[in-house]
Amino acid sequence: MQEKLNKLKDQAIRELSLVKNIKQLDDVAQKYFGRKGGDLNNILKGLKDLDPEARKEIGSLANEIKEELEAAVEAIRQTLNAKEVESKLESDWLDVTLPVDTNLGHLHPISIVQYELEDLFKGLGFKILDGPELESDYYNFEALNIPKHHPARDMQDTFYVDNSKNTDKWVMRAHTSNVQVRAMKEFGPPLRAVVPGRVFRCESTDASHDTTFDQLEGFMIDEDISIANLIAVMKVMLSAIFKRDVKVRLRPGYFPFVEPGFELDMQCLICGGKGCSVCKQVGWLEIMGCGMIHPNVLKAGGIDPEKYSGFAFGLGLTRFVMMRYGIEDIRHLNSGDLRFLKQF
Amino acid sequence: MKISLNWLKQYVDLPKNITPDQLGVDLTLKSVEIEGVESQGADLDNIIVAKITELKPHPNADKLRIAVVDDGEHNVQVVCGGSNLEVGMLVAFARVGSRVRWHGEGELVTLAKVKLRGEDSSGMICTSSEVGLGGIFPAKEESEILDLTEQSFKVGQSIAEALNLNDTLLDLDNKAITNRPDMWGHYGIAREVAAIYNKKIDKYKVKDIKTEKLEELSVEIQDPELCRRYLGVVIDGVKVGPSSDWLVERLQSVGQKSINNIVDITNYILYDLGQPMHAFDAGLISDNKIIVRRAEKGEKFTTLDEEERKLTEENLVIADGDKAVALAGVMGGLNSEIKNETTKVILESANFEPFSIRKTAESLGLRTESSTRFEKNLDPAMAELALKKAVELILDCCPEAKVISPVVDEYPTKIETVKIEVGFDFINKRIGVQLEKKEIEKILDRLGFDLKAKGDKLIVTVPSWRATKDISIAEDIVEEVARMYGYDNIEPQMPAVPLCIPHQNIERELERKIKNILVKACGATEVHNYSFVGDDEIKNLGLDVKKYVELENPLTADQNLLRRELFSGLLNNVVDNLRFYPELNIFEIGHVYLAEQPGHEAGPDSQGVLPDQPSIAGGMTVCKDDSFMAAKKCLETTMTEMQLDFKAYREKEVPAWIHPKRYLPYYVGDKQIAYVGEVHPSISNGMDIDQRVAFWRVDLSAVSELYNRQYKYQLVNKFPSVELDASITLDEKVTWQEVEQIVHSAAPQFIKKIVLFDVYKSDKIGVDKKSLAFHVVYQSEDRTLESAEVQKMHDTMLSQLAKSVKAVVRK
Repeated sequence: MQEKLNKLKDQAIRELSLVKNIKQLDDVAQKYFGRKGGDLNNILKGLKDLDPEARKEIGSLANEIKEELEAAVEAIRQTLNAKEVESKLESDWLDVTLPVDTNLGHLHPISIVQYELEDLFKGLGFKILDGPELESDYYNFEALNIPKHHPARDMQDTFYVDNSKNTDKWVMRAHTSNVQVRAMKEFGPPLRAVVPGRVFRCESTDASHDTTFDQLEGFMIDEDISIANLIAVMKVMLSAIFKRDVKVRLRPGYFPFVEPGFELDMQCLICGGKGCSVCKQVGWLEIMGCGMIHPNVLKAGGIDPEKYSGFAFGLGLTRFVMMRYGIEDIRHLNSGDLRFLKQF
Repeated sequence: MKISLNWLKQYVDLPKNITPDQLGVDLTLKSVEIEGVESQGADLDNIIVAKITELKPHPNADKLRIAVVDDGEHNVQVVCGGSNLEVGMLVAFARVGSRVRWHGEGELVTLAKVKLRGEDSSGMICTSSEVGLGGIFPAKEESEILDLTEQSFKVGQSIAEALNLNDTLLDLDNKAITNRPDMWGHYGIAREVAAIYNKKIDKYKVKDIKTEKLEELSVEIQDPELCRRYLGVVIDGVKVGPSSDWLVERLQSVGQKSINNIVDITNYILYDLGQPMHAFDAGLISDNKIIVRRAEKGEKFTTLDEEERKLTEENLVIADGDKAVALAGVMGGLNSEIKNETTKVILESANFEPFSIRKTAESLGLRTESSTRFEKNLDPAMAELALKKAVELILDCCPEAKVISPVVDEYPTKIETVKIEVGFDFINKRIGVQLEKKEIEKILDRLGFDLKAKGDKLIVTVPSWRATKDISIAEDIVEEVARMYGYDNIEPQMPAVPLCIPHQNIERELERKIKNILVKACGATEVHNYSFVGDDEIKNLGLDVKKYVELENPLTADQNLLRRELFSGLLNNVVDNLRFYPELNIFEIGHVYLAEQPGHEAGPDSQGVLPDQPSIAGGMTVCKDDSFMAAKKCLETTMTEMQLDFKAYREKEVPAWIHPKRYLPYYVGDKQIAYVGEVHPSISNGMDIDQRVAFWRVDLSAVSELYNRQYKYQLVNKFPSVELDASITLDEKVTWQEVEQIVHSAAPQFIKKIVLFDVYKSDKIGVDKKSLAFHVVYQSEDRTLESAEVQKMHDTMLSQLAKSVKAVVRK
C-alpha cells in the first residue's frame, strides 16, 4: 500500500511536469483527486479495509502526499495563469489613441455666463425674475422716471410697435430695467432680484453693436441701503466673475431712474491699472451703469421712498461674455454659426 | 466738447501740483467724464521756423529740389518735393530727431539724416498736415508747403511758441453733461473745478449797458411757455471785420472757425458762458420789431446754412412784422445774416423751453451748438449776463459803436427758486458714511448752495444754474455731497439684511434643466436667433403676415415682424450650417409674441394688456439615420426630464410647415404642449435642403403651469418577472402605439413592460408589410406567476393581435 502510494506520487509528479496548460492541469488533478474515480481517492477509499494501526499510518502518508500534490497543482496553476495573462496582454494590444465621441452639445456662451451670475446672486438671496420683452411705454420709460421727451426715447434707439388700442406705444424693451417696477408691485419691499434677458436697440449693427443683446439687471431694496452697500455688492460680484479681487471705482453718471447715478469702472485686469491697449491706457474699464433707485421709481412701484432705499445696476451680459472669451464681433452671438457655438 | 485749459485758468487758479492729466481724472471722478487730455504743442519738439536761402534742382529727380535752409543756427541741406518753394520763404522745418506724420497720415515717424536719390537731406520742410497743423492752416493741395512768410516769426523760433500753441485741451464727454446745463461753457466748468479744489471763483464779470435810447426795440412773446425770456438790444455804428487775435485763438482752441467779429463774439459767449446768442442785421428786420411765435403750418424758411426748410406749428420762430428771421434756439435765417456791410445789429439773448427746441432740431435734422445747449434747459439768468458781456465785447472791438435802444427784457415765465429740506442723517445713511455737519455744509457751500440750518436738517437753496433740471430733491443733495467727498473715500460695506425664503421661478428652472439635458444627454447645441423675422420668410412658410406684431421702425425689411415661432430662425440656422456639418442637432429657448392672446398688464393708466409672450423650447435635427427619431428623442428626453406625464397621438391636423405624414403632437391631460415633425418637403426643397430636417417644440410657459415635482416612490416588486418574446408580421401602417395597446390590454394587470427591439421590412415578407419583434414582461404584485399561466396570457395576447390588426405570428 505504502509502495503503491509512493509510486502514485512519483507518477503524478511526472505527469504534472508535462502539463502545458490549465486544461491539462485540470485533467491531471481530476485523475488523481477526482471524487469519482480519482486514483488517490480510490486508494483512500481502500483504507477502511485496513486494520486500525495500518490505517493510521497509511492514512497520514496518503494525506501528506495529497497535500503535497495539491500544493504542486496550485503552484503550477499560478504559473500557468500568469503565463496565460501574459500572452493575452500581447494579443490585447489596442490603439488607445483612437478618438471617442463624447456626444456632448454646447450651451450658448450667454447661457454659461448668465447661469454663473444667477447662481452667484441666488447665493446672496436674490430672486431670479423675468419680464416681457415687448413692453409698454409705461414700464420701459415712464415708470423709470424717463419723461416723454427724454433723449432715450429717440426713434433711433428704441423699436416701437404701433398699438392701435392705446395712445401709448409698445416698445421692444431697451433694457431689463423694465422689470424693476413690475417686481416692486408684485413682491413689495424688501426686495432683491436679478433679471437676465434680451434687450433691443434700433441702431445700425457693427462689430460692437447689435439690435439684440443680453443684460442682467439687478436691484436691492431695503431699509437704509447705501452707496457703500452698492460698492460692496458690485465688488463681490465682479470678484466672483473674474475669480480674483478686483478694484472698482464709481464716478458720476446720469441715468434718469437712479439718483445718484454712477458709471462703475473696474481696474484693468490685464495691466493692473498701469494702462494698456485693452483699457486704452486709462487703467480702468467702464463696466456698467448703476445707482441708487430714484424715489419716483420706488413710488411707481408702490414703495415708500422715505422708509426704503435701494440700489440698481445694469450689467451688459453680452459685453461680459465678449470680454471673457475675447469675442471680437458681437454678431457671432446671434448668428447660429456652429463653428462658433461649438467652441463653448 | 473741447475745453481749453488756458480759458479755464482765466477764471480759476489750479493748485500748483495738479497736472492737466490729474485735472482730467479729478473731473472724471467728481463731475463729468474727460475722455482725453491733449497738449497742443506736444508733438512739435525740434520743429522750428526756418528760412529757405537757396534752391537748386535735384540732379536725379524732376519733382524734387535741393533747398538750403537757415534754421537759426546752421545752414542745412534738405531734399524737398514741395510745389510752392521759394527763396526767402519762411517754413516749418523739422530737424533731424523730430517727429512728423508722413503725408499727414499714420503714426509719427522720427526723422534721420538720409540720402534721397543720392543727395544728402537733413530734416524736412513740412506741409501743415505733416506737423498736425492742417486744422489751422489747411493746404490747397497735398504737396503745398506750409508758408509762414506772412507771419512775423523769428528764424529759429519753435513752431509751438511762434503759434502760441501752449494750450491743453480736455475732451469732455457731452453725454455725461446732459443733466448739467451749467457745464456747457468754460465758466461753468471753471466753477466746478473751483469747487473740486476748494478754490475761489469770482462771479461772472459784466458791465451794465449804457444806452442812448435813440430807437425803440419791441419784443412780443406770443408763446410764453416756449420762450421764457427774451432780451434784446440795438447797437449801431458797428464795423464788421476780422476778430482780434485773442478771440480767434480762443475759438480756434475749441475748434470753432473765426467768421467775423460780431458772429465770433456771440460764438465766444456760447463757449464761455454756455448761452447761445444771435445777432441780426437790424437793417433787415422791419421796424425793430421782434415777435416770438410758433411757425405757421407749411411756412418756408431758409436757415443760415442756405437750406430751405418747411416748418410746422411745432417749431418756434423769431419773426419781425413780415417774416420769420430765425429758427428760435436752433439757427438764424439767411435773410437777416450779419454781412460785411452791416452797421446796425440787434442782439438776441433768450431762454427757450428745451423739449420744443429738441423736437424742432430733431424733426429738421438740424442739431446745432445752440440747440444742443437749449435742450438741456438753460438757466434764464444766464441770458442777461450773456447780453451784457456781448455788448461789452462789441463796444471793445468797435469803439464807434453805440447802444441805441433800451435793453428789452421780456421775462414772462420765471423759474421758481428751488429749496430742499434734507437731514444730515439722511445724507449720511444714503451714502453709508458718518460725515460731520460742518463737512457737509462746507461741500455744499463750495458748490454755491445757500444753506440754512434747521435742527438736524438743512434748508438748501439751489443756485439758479443748477435749478433748471439737475437738482430738485434730497437725493440730488446726497449726490452732491457724495461726489465731492469722493466716491473713493466711501468704505464698501455689505448690506446687513434679514434672511428670506428663497424664491422659485419654475419657468427659469425648467429652462435651465432642459438646456442642460439637451446639451448633455442629446448632444444638442444651443443657438440664439433674433426675435425679428421678415415678411418674405413668413410668406415662404405659407403663413399669414397679418397675424404678426409689426415693428414701426424696423432696421431692415427682413426684420420687421416679431416671431411667433422659433421655426424659421432654426431653419435658417440649418441651411447655414449644412455647408459645414453633415448632421445637426440645435435648439433654442426664447420668447414668441402672440398678439391674439393676453399677456402682462401694460400699466396703471392704460386698460390694455400686452401680447402674450410665452417661452418656447424648440430644436431641429438633421441626422443620417433618421432625423425624425433624433428630434423625437430630444423632445421626449426634455419632457421626461421635466417629469411630465405625457401622451402622444397621431393627428390629422398638422401645422402647415410640417410633413403631414410625419407629425406627432404631445399632450399632458388634454392640453397639447409639444410636437415633433419633419419639415414639409415643399419648404425644405424651396430652401435647397436635400436632407430630411425634423423639428420639435415644447411650450415651456404652458409646461411650467403643469409642472408638479411631488412624486412618491413605489415599493420594489419582489416577485419574479417572466420575459417572453413575440415576433409578428403585419400591415406597415399599423402603428406601434396600436400594437402596444392591444398587447397591454391582453393582461393589463400583469404586463409591466413592452419593449420593441426590432422593426424589419423586406420584400420577402411582402410589400406594405413589416415585422415587429418585442419583449413582454409579465409580473404579479402579490405572487409568483406560473409559467403555464404566463404562456396562456401570451397566447391570448398574440391571438388578440391576429384578430385586431391581422398580425401573423412568426415562429
